[in-house]
Amino acid sequence: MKKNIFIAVLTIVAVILSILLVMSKQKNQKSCELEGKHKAYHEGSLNAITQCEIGHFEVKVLDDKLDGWFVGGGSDTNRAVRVTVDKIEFSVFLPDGTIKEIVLFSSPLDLAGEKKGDCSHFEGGADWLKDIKTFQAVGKIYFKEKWQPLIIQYPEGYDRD
Amino acid sequence: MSFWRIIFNSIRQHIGSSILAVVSIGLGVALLIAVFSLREQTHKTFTEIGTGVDAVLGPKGSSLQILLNAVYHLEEMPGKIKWSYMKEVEKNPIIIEAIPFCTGHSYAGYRVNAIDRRFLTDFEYLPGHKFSFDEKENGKGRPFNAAKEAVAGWEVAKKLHLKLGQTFNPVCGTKSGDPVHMNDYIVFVGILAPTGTPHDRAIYFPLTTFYGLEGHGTATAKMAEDEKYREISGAYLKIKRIRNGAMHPGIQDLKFSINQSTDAQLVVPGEVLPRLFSIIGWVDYVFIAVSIMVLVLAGMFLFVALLSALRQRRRDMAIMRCLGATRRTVFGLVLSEALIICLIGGVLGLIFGHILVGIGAEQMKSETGIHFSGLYISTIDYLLLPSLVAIGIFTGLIPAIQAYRMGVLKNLLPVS
Repeated sequence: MKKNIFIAVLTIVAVILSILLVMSKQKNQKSCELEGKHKAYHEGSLNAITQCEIGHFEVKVLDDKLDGWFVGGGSDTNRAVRVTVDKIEFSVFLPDGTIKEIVLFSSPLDLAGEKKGDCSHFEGGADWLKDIKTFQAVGKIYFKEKWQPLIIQYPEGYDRD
Repeated sequence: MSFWRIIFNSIRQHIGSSILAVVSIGLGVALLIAVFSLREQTHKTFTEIGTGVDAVLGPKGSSLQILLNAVYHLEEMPGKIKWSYMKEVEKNPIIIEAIPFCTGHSYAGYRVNAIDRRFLTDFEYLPGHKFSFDEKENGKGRPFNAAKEAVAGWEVAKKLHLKLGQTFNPVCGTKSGDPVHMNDYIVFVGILAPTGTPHDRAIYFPLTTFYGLEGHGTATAKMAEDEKYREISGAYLKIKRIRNGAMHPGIQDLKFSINQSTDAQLVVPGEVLPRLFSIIGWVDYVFIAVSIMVLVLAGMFLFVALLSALRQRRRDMAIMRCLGATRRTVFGLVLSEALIICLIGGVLGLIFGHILVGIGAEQMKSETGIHFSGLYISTIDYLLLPSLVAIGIFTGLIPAIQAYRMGVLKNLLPVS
């Protein structure tokens, strides 16, 4: 009799512990999903500017238009970072080996109070953009008080680390 | 004597402990039903039903606070935004309509919001549903047309027994003791038909009236005359829809741009509310854990009751075996008894749980403006029957095994 009660109590405790374990595991899983992910807020590809912690250049291609946003480093990708240049020139390396040039011009986000020469958004266009699915581009940008190489890997994004 | 008759007699023999087991199982089930029902209905109301607001343009601060204030008439707005900024935002091609409002006033515990008249005439609180003043739908009167006119939400009108033509003085604030605009008499000209949304719980009057209320000062009065100085608490935004009624994807770019400004932010209810649920989610877990504990304790109680009943009925069992009952029959008797007690407790708990939600629904509606129904079928309702069968088997198994193993000769001796 005593043995049976002991087994029953032990089983009940085990059931309660399992329920609590499953609950805590679900919670951990959720918090892991929220942390550690660099969200691309425009649903483009995030390209680290030398290192992920320094900043990102989010790139999105739609038909013959290329949009780029300078955003913060780490998980601060929801924060725009303004740069003081008017245009950025890129050499674009296409999968077939050809090299093209593209220039992105500043396109201030008016609602953010940005102005030409002090903005985070750039855009440019080229007909050949319509036909490509993947490319690599190299440019240079004065970012966070320093000239930095700017590498774009589209669509997967660039991260040296 | 039939199998079921024997079980019935056995339950009757230890009726006291059987009733206690039924009550405790019933309580556990009722708690689970109530918790799950309220949880799912709240979730559904906040995330699926919505309030017709695609996005709220508000000041810098907590996005959750903005949403609770603008849409659910709770909390306080963390600041103000410029009218001119809202006009700039309104120019964006994905925006169909922007309805500006000012919060921060109250009357008899209900919020008084100054709002653009289009809110009462054009705004859809649910897809295809605009506010109605039709008497057939329990509404009355008309939208406000003049400065000193107001419209009450259905819930407010019902609770405060408001009548058309009645006047009120708005309170400058939302807390008790805040100053009253004693010389500003606003007359009720309309009562909105019930919508089942938090919009039922507020009073609305014209935006321009807000700026001109006595005691607001010259700077605020100037806002009524000159748009350059005008400030608002926020604006409801209606966003263009694409295929399947989904919001235009441009909302992300717009939100990003606005959120970079130092003046305002864009709050999308569909994105903020899941965060609210992740913050308060642990409360649900606590309630669910407590309900499960009650059920487990009820199960343990049933287990002990069955064991003690078995000890008292050892001789009866032995006699039954002598009369031809097999080991499997006595095993089935004990197990079925546990199952029946669990199922009776479960059914009573199911009914009581739904009654509990039904009784609390009215009170919760007046507190939160959210409609709850006692008849709502939640996930746990579907899981209840298999769970109760599992609990019945779990609690009855060991006593049933004991009955199965019971020696006949040894137990034929009188117990006393």
